Amino acid sequence: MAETNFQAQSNISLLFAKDASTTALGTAHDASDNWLALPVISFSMPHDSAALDVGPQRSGTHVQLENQMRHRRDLNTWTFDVSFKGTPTSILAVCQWAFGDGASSADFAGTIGIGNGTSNSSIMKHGTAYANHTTVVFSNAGSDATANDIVVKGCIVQSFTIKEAVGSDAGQLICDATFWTAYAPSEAANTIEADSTDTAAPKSIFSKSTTTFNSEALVLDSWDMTCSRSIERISSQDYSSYLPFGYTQTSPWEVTGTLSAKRDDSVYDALSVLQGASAGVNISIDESSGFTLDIPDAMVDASSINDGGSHLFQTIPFRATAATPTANVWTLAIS
Amino acid sequence: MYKAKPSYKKLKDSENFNHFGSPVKHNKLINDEEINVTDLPKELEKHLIKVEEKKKRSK
Repeated sequence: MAETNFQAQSNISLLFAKDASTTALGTAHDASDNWLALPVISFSMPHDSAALDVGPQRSGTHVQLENQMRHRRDLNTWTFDVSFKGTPTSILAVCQWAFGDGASSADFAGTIGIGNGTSNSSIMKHGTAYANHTTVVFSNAGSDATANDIVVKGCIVQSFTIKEAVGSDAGQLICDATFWTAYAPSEAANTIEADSTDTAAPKSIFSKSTTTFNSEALVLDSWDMTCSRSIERISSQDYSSYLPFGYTQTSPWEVTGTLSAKRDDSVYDALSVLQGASAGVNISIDESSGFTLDIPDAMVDASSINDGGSHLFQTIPFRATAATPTANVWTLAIS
Repeated sequence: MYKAKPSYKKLKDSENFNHFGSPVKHNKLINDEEINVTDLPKELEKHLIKVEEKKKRSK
């Protein structure tokens, strides 16, 4: 007889662990940590599975044999996407799990490395305690009738985008994050409950008081900024548990973004920068209080005119850089 | 900008900036570097010293 349990998408809720202190990489956070019910808009879910590696074909055989095959659980990594409303708590949490600074002002410095707190460190080791990873619980997403939650440990943020637009999401700040782990998701009956539910209002483009680009005041229609890097797992401790030795960051952080602004005299006054002066300029996106994004050395990357609406906009793609190896690429004061 | 007092370095991970979401700020304080804080947790006030902000590079 068919099983009677099922999983309604709308019945799934997410909980995220914020460290009460530090937690060993590879260990799930527990009830003593601070579990947050953040304002999630949408999400995808990881599943414990492995790619099939096909070995060499035996000569004179015209089908593939079972013993040719190998599931490569030693290579496994998992990613899943979560979109949050951009409240101070959700933004700072993502900053903590991405680059290790989730206390305002979040400073994206040239020295952040993988984000474990140690300057320029590019590794995290299995079993070593860190405060920059999280455990995510997808409540009611497990397929078993009783072990009906999915628990994902060792998660760090591989990339994230913060964005606002007049024409979408009611102008609210949105944060799209891609989480990454090399530890297999498990299905379990999890009893963790939220310690706090984030009900704060998200930041909004309609609350922005000052946006300047090379000191020129812009009227923004939209803006976004993405921070991304590559991460890889380090091998496998054995071929039974398939636990990794750790993580390593294999590319520099890249910070790119776009401003879309009303095309006006300010745009003309910034013409030499838009033409390409091979020098960074300052971008500031501020609210009167509670939100100050400062990008001190942004390089414009092929600006263009957007003539698709009733009036013209200037599209200003940029790449944020650090003036020196220790300088900030950007800082965000948010409260 | 803030620096650590000696008492900060004696705090447990459940009391220092690791607890407040920033292993980066914690390690800077341990290494006697300055940190930029806009919302200083009350629990840490007595363990940090406010220092004069350095002038920013003008563009």
